[in-house]
Amino acid sequence: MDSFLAWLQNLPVFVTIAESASIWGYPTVLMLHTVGLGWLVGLNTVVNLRLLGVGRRVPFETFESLFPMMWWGFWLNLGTGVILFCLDAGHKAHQWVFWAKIVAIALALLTLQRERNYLFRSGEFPGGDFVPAKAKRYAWASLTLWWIATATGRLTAYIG
Amino acid sequence: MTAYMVPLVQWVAATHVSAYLRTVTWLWPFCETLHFIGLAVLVGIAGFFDLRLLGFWKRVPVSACKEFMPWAMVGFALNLASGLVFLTMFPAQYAYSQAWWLKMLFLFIAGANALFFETAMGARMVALGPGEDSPVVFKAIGAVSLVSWFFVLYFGRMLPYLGDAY
Repeated sequence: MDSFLAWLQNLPVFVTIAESASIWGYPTVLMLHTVGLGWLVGLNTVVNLRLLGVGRRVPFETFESLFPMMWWGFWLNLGTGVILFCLDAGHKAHQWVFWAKIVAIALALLTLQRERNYLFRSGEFPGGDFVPAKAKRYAWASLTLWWIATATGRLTAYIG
Repeated sequence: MTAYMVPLVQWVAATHVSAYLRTVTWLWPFCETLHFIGLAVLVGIAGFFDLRLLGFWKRVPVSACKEFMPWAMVGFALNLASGLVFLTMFPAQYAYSQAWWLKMLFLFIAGANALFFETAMGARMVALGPGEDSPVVFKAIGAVSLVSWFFVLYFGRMLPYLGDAY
């Protein structure tokens, strides 16, 4: 496993990015990872705040179009995230806080899809002023999981 | 610019508060974490509102989308507080960084833009009927907001690379 990680990290493309002094190398990849995070987690916060009672005058249908936008943020971060992992594979793969982040993201994505199905595809969600307890549980689960993903992601710079 | 800052920076760095905060080892990672959660909340809510100003979700009243804004302020407050901790702990790495001043400039533009909308556009916001196209001034405000928040994030995240902050 370690030899695979070393091979990955030593691929010329990743060595070039890691060692480049250019602002368009590693710093830009890292910056884009933060843009994707803000977009995905931020729009997710808007939808979940609505379920928890904020902005009641905004009809629920409005938020259906936010889900594809959240996925743009996700794909950007998957792309930049894979690059960031490869640049530092030997280290990242041994950081527990990195794996905690991956698990949190997996659970958050699962929740995101289930929440979306429940709100817009199941026909179960009433969509009026009354928000059922089930929807509020989705909102809290989703908010909490993305906060954990953000926190553990940021902490990979400091722990382990 | 930086020459004027020297006495202030030296004074902040020499305060007891600054010295004490530097001894709290978990504080820096903790505030970095808060800063990123606050960033997401602020950028997501402001971005949602900016898209409405640009003409997305035309049938939803602008004033209804604006009801999320107090939570964007919560995100901002979180980042102001954690940002002040960073600044108090290590003032030199910000006060002498061009990237940090550019971040402050875009923060100022974003703030002034929002304040302009808040104080001068109230009547137009109420007058805008459902389904009507956004007035040009709304689109301009939305675009300025999106671009300036992007650059706040850009120069913030680039602090270690455009200068030597960490």
